[in-house]
Amino acid sequence: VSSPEFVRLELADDKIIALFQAEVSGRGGRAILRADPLLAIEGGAVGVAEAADEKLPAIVSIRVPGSNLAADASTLDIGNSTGLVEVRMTVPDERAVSLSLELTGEETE
Amino acid sequence: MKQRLAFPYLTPSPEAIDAGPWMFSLNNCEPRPLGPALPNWDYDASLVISRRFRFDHEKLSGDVGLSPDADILSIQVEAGTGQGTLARKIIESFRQALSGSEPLLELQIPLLSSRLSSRLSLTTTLFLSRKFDAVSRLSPRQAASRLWGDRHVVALDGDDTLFPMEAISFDEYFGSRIQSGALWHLHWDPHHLNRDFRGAMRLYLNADDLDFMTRIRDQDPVMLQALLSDVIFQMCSHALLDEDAHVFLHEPEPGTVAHQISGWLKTAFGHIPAARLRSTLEARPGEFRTAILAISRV
Repeated sequence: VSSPEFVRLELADDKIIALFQAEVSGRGGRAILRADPLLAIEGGAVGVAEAADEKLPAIVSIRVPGSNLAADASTLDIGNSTGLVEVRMTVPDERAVSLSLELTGEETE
Repeated sequence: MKQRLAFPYLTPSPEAIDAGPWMFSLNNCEPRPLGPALPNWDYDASLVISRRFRFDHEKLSGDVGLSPDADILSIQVEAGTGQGTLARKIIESFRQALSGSEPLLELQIPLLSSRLSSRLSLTTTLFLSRKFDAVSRLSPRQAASRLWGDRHVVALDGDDTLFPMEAISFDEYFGSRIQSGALWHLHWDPHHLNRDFRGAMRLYLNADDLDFMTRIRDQDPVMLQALLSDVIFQMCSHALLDEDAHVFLHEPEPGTVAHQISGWLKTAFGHIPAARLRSTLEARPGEFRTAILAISRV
């Protein structure tokens, strides 16, 4: 899986949503794509578990365009799909966010 | 370059801001592009940095949902200094309001060399200078909202070294172990390639070997080539053989261990993906090592 790239902001029910894209290459069988939101800090980013704050970003959905692979969750079994994947996450007011993607062989949640 | 961060408001597209390279003038000489190092700099040098911008205000305003004639944008340059990726101390903070009717902006900032050490970090930020009652929910509203920015870090010649080095007694450090007979020892953590390069590694030189230390002090080119190539080979080969590390080599953050390794690999082999370089390292280790030796020539 390539490093995710921010594409654009969207509005949904007055919530600000960030759309990220990445290239994935499934390994066949159960290839689980896991998305974790990150909060931007000076010089890097931290996972939301490390941030003691209520204004936290959250994964809204993962989908593979052009297929029926989609989940309103932070993991998706992409099987042996290869190509573009879209991840949407909420963006809290006054916070910059980023995204971490990981491809594993087994379901982690 | 990929944008990895999402701000909670719209930001300008790259076409809206044409930011030229940083230039520097040392001791009143003709301005030259400011690269990763500042040659011939010293603590008494007269130093002026400059940069030109061209703003497409209509495009910029349209991108973020502001009125072109609102005149609420300012640009700020912070000059920091000290070791590490993040500046330890800000020595100059320059701010200028932008006019929506003026597309060109040239900044000229004199810096006091006597206040600099190790590295010069130039952080440029375009931001909202006051609160704005935007119509769109996605437009920036709060004062100081950052719309665009970049950072340029320069090593100061004569003060900073390519590697953090330290001369120690290997007899004391390693005791009776066989390593005490080595000329140098690279201390680094290969599991954190996203750490600041200068903070993540240290090259220890064997102070017990007087001939070796003399050659280092005299900057013997053959000795330095052997030393640098060993360090570069150790770090590059480990990063390539560890598949988990490849993700860090793909568009690494500036100033990190991964960024340094990626730069060495590009110098030696061009823009070849890490997976293919790993194959080269495994199939033709001699050729790989020779390429590293060649780029280590000082």
